[in-house]
Amino acid sequence: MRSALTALILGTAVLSAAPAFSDAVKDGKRVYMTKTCMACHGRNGAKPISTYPALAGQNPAYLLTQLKAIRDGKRVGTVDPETGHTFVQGMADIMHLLSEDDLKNVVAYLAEQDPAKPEVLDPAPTEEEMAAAAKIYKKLGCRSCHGKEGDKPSNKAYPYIAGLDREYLIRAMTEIRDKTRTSGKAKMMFGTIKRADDDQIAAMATWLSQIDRNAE
Amino acid sequence: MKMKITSAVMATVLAFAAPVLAETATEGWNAAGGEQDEALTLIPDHENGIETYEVCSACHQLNGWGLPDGTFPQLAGQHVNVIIKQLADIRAQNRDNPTMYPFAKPSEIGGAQSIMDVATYISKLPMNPENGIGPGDNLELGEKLYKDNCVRCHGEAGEGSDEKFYPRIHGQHYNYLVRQFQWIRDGKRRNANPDMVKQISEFSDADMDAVLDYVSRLKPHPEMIGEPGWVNPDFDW
Repeated sequence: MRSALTALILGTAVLSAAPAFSDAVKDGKRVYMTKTCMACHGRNGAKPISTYPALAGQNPAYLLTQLKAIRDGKRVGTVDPETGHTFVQGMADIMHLLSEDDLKNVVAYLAEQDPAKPEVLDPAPTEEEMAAAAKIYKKLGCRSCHGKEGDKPSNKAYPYIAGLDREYLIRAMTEIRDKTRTSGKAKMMFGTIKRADDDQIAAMATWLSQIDRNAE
Repeated sequence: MKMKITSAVMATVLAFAAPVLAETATEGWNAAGGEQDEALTLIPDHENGIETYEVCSACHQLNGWGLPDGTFPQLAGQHVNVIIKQLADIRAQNRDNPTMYPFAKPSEIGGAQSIMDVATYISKLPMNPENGIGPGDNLELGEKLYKDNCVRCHGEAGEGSDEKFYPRIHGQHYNYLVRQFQWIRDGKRRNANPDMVKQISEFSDADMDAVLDYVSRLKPHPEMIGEPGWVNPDFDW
């Protein structure tokens, strides 16, 4: 009798769990399309404009941390010389539109999307440049958190960095190295990235930007 | 071919500029140039307007009605010239708008043709039937202030003027109107017509709230207004 009851309760719990997840993704898509995100981060989070990051297939825990940090003014970053505002200003200005549920749903949606295709660089980097960059990445110790090619974060809170916009990667690494970006787990990364000079950051950004997560 | 277009552009610029200069001596506020000049001469393409509008919908919504809290204005039914000019000003940073800035760039929105296409598309969308309105506690003053100060440019019903680049302000969200009015009065919105800046310089915050509350309740012509809950059939999601 007891085990039958337990089975019934568990069965009901399982049945009610499944739709909730797909609802989050569906609701998340609606948030994504109508609460401004699509405008800058592109269709399905995979076609960002300018030097903004693709979000498709990103770890949801990481996305949530960044959303809150930008919303709460904890992630401010560098000023875009073209506009005189920080790169995140346009986003910070509209974060009041998103409820806590919106945030949870939109990251669930984004996590499910196929990663963006790498941008085409012109001129294309040489094989030597790519190999050299991979070496720097390995030597600094980036693998232990981001994976061999930035495509296998060791922790759900760490981001995938493979296939992101080259300029964005340069900016992110530089901001963390120079302590402009200290929100979330950036402080933990400081020790690793502080030994990279600008050329090494640019080289790694070039290499990472070309890695196609879809090819795996 | 190139020379022909140039003289057409010049003619158009003069045609648009002349009435403004003659009437209000406000040189410079609508100096135009660049994409604005070019866009104004082009024939709009409806299909490209829809395609271009998709990115705008992320903030201004599929129906062009913006958000009633005023974060994003309702754009539906706005004058083509006004939309083109505001995009050009945001692009040139004559009007400060960090969220909008990328979308005013030809590299993101497409060139002058896309600007004309999307502006025309937006101008034809049915207007928001339930825009955000003010508190309603000072409408008598609001009406008086409006009639004494605003009719000359924005019209009896808040309809503005496409020809003169004065925006349609009826049917607009109250909070958006307040923010823009404040910025125009206090010099933060730098692309405002200097005559308006002067006209409203003595308005107190209470005056501002009153007159904009009145404006937020002015109704466009019934034919221009959409049905509540109208879904834009041009998009399928």
